[in-house]
Amino acid sequence: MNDPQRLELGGDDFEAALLRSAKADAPSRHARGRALVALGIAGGLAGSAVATGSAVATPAVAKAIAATSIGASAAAGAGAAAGAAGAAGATASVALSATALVVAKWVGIATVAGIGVWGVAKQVQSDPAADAVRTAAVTATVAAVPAGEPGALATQPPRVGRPADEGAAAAATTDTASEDDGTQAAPALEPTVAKAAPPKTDAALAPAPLRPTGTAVAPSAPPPKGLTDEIAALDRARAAMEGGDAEAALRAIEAYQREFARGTLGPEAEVLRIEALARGGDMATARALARAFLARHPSSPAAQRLQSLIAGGSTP
Amino acid sequence: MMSLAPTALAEPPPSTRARSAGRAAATHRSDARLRQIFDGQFGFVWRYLRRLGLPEADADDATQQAFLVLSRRLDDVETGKERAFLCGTALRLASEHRRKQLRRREVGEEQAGDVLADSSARPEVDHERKRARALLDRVLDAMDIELRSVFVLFELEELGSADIAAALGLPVGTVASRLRRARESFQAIVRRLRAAEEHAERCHGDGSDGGTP
Repeated sequence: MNDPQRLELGGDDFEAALLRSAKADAPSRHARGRALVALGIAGGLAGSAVATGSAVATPAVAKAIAATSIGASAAAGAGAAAGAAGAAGATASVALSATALVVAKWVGIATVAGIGVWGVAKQVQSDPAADAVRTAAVTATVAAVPAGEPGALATQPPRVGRPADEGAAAAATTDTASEDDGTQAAPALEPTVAKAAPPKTDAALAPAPLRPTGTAVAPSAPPPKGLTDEIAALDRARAAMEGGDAEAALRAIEAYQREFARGTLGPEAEVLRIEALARGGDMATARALARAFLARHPSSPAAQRLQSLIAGGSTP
Repeated sequence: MMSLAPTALAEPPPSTRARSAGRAAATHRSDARLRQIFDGQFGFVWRYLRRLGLPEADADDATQQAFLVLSRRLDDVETGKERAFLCGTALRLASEHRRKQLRRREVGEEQAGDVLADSSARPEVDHERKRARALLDRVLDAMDIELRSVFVLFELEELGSADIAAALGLPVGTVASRLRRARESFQAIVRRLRAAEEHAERCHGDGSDGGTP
């Protein structure tokens, strides 16, 4: 195809400058987060928290998680992978144990991948995995919190988030393929997944002490609540709703609205709440809230759905 | 906050578990597919909407909307046609948005002139870029949306005409002719605005703020 030369190169300076000014166009991570929640594919951090708890069950995975305490950098990879596994599995909310295994697998893979990339694999292998399982119990919980942060959405410098994010996408793809053998944690430790490890988290690598004790990475203070936490909170609500438990969904939304009074996902939470009320049969309240919501957010992406709810359609 | 305790929801029906198990597998697969498309195309769709004239906040909402539409129609969208579907939806959303905007401000044509008049103030680079970006929006706003949709995909998103044809569901020949007209239109508008700029400089630039050389 012989396309003409682009104006930015072939036009005059003024035109080129105008066109160049659009190069910086990019959506904010909040926009992304809101859309993920609205679509219900946020990739449950809630799910990953549950899963890491039971991950200890598989020795191979326990070893992998223990390794996390050595290479702090792996946390980012684990976050991405856990997010991906969550995306693929957690929302289903049915076979929780199966999900746990899938997530456990990805945590393991990402951890190993992260270490592979940073070249600390040798130290890990030479370390005795004797107290790995014990350590894992500690680290799993420790890792679960910060691991979420560098993952899909909550990185402070927006650029750093990207690689992990794309890794998550890659992992998610692979996950669909390997879904059937979700119970086999070990054989999936393939180098292809190494891409999931973000190449640019130097800061995270810095404090990597080579002692497999859980204390090595234990952060003294919990990280501030960010968008990732908001998403996790609403994911719990959505999972409850998909499981048919509208009451639990409402409780989760209430908890969200209490904790994040000025949260980024306020509108999405309100829409979820209206849907949960409708699902639970309280159409009168649902309609009233929907009307109030539409008055405040006339151009909301959910407007159409809410309008048909008000108009007397059935449950959305 | 939640003053209402809905009595009707008392029992979380455990029977739905079994029923939903089969459905869950399907949901699971389409969620994974949707997430994959989302990760690959979210930025693209957002930029496209932004460049079709939506302000950032509206672009946020409309991008979400586009993916909601996709999620509802996911089973009908062939693999490989996702971007085309999103482009079509985005274009429709942008057209709706534009119609609303036009209704809202019948006036306001001289705003482009205002932006230009401001730009003689010799600001920081970032400022400069923002101003240029605002100006670009004005120029693009003055273009027909059919032309604009092709123009931004080619000039800003840097897709080839074949890809644009696929994304917009147009013959390649149509893309080529629209692109040609789009560029003529773009350049004509830019010329007009520059003339306005020179005029503004002549009127405001000299003598208005009392005389240091």
